[in-house]
Amino acid sequence: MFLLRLCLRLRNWLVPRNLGNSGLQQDRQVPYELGVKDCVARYIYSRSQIRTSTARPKPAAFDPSPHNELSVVHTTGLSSSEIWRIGCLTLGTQPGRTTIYGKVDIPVMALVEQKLHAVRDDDPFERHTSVLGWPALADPNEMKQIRKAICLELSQNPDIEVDIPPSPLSRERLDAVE
Amino acid sequence: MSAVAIPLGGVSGLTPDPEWTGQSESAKSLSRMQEDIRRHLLRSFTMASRAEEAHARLDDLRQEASVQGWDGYGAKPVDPLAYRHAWSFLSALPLSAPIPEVGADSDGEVALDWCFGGRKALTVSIGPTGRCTFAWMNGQTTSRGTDWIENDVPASIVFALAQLARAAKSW
Repeated sequence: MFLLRLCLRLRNWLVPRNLGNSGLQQDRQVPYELGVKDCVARYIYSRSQIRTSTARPKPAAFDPSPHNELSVVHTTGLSSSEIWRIGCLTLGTQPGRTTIYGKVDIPVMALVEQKLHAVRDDDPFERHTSVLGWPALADPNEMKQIRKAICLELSQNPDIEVDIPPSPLSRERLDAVE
Repeated sequence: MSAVAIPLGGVSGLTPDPEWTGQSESAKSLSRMQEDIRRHLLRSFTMASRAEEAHARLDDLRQEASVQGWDGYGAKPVDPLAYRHAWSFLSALPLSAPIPEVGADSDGEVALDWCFGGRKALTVSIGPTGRCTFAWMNGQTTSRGTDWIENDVPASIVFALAQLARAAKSW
């Protein structure tokens, strides 16, 4: 993990700094670490992860379990409709992936403030990004505590916003629109 | 002559399920009285509706998070034992405490969240062993810890809730 991060950093030093211009990023090879001016979005497939009364994400919306990483999409340079379209492409028939109830727009700066980093890997789809750097400790109690504290911080960060569509998005609805 | 203290509300101020170890007739009689009082309180309109609402939220969650991958990212379903502990936790919440938002973590634990606005928030995860992992913030002050459900809401969590409620009132 350390070597992987080192390699990513070295490569990032050798290419132009990412200033949030999507045109620049097209020339870059994945995986690469996003800059602090970039934005990512987390699709929300479960109603229980959004506090609808205040349109705020709950801490669990950022929970990196079970893969120890947070799956997001790199949204810098995309319009809102393009971001929703990518989200709809992630929908399927398997449990949990049938409906999108919202998305959480996250400036990468907010992740960096929590000592996390966003690595665009384009896997399994273009613009897919993994938020890495979650504490991994031998003591499961301590690890859970720290992760909850990070998720709570993210849920309370005013720069992180929830975008809720007028009605939940489903594959059927997208097909009907098209 | 002996004196017996009936732990009507413990730290939380509400009645936990009784755990009575006395063997004498007097002790058994007191145990029955305590249970009667507890049931009477839970039947009262205010407390019953609060408890029912909290439990209804928990049941909704259990239904939504009942299958592997319910969150779209491979989360485990809510653990039945975590659900039972969360049920007990909600039953024993202080009368003055707001009802929490109910959710689930990806590892199958039940997550309870309170948000009082302006960086005043508490999140608690309840696991299958009764472990409560919590983190809270009150402005720039942050804290976290692990405690265990033992017939009542852990004192550390009651303390956090009281601090946040007080801060929210004066905010």
